[in-house]
Amino acid sequence: MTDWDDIARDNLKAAQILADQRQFRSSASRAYYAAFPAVSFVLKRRAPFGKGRETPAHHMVTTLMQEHLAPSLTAAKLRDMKATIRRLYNERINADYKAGMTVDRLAALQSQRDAHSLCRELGVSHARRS
Amino acid sequence: MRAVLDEQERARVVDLARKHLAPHQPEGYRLEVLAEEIHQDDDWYYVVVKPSRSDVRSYDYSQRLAEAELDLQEKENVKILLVPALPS
Repeated sequence: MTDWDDIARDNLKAAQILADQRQFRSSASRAYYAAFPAVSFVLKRRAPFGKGRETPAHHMVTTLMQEHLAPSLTAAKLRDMKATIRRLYNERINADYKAGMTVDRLAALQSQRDAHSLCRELGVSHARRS
Repeated sequence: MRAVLDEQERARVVDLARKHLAPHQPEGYRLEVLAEEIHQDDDWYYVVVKPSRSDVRSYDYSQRLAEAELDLQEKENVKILLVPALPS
């Protein structure tokens, strides 16, 4: 069975491959979708999303993080985690929808950096479970 | 994905990361390479970097990481992504 951290790892890998192939928009998009399932899983353990949803609405992620993760994280860590997922989301929107925005190699690498950083914090290990 | 590197390779990657971070170190705190947190995936290495002060936001130094990564690729022909450790 595919688990949430398998999805995160697959998308981290896809982001790497796509950037190497100079598909920077797709890379930035995949980087967001590496971090999003990791955040969603952590939130879902604390408060199910309802109506059979596996993930929260994208625009609700930082609000839910504040609501459910604040008791267990330092203010500095939570602030940085929220900023990181917001940055990833904004870059994903630029990449997927805004033709006038430049999404270059540096932007794609920044998104990869953010995604790896957040996934690390949320316990996505590099090694795939057998 | 190879999560475990042999010690010689780990030491080489740590040395390269530290060497190319050195010119980009900020004033007031240090960016430290966590030698125990290095992973390899194909021809990419993922190296975790932690600021010596806990009140520093990761985005504040991400440009420095990006510049060090460019130096590593251009001067050493090695692909290293420097991953910020978020504040504790």
